Amino acid sequence: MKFDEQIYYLCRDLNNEWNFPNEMHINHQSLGSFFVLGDIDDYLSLHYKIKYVHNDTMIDADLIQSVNNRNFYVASIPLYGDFIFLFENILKYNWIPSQSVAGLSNNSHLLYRVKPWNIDKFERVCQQHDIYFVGFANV
Amino acid sequence: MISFHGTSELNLKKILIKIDINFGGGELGMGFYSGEHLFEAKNWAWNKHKRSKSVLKLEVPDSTIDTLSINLLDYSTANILRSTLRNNNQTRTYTSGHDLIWAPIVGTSKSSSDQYKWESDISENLLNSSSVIKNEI
Repeated sequence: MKFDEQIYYLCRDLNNEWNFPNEMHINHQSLGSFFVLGDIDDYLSLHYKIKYVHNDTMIDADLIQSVNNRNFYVASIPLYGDFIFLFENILKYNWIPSQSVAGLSNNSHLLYRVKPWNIDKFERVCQQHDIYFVGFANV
Repeated sequence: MISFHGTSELNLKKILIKIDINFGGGELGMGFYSGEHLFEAKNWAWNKHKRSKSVLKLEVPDSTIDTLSINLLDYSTANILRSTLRNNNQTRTYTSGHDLIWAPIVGTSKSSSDQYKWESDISENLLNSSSVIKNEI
């Protein structure tokens, strides 16, 4: 898998920079968001990977572009159905990784926000079946 | 009101015994933070605390919430406060003079989730009282 197909989970730190959560101050609370790395040509892949946790195990799910609207992607989880994500073009956000990540350059990367869409389902499935998406945060 | 706080296994044991509002900080200043969604708390615990699965569930009676002094912030106001605190280096010291700040999460995006910052002695006493149900989830 190419790393530019990865869904990242990043937070804003005290300096307003994007970072992995494990880089934040130990007692600092700043819930993050999911992102993909974009490019200046506004190119989005048809396919990404997003990590989720089920029964203490981290699993990769395929995230496939919707045929109806290219800004929406769907992860289909066996037994639990579809989870929809909205990809938002927010070219104002840049990210320079401060940690070494295999396959990822330390250059500045454009970030596209990836927002859970049917959040009622995200919450219900988490509460009832202990399934939740975590993305890649270098943990 | 039900809310969730993702943390490490060790810290969860501590806060099940006693929540200290002076211990934590964040985009809205000093206080104890919880959020409305379990799936976000689980995600935070996993990624922030080395694949922790520890989340505190807080159940505070609505009748008690109604007695608190609540600082309600919309997205714009919360975003301004966040920027001000960051610029003034107050993310670990600021309190608003209320018992609770109720605001959208603003650090990342126009989130559809709310966060709650419990920031007064009244809040701390409430969260550690028998009227609040605290469970690991």
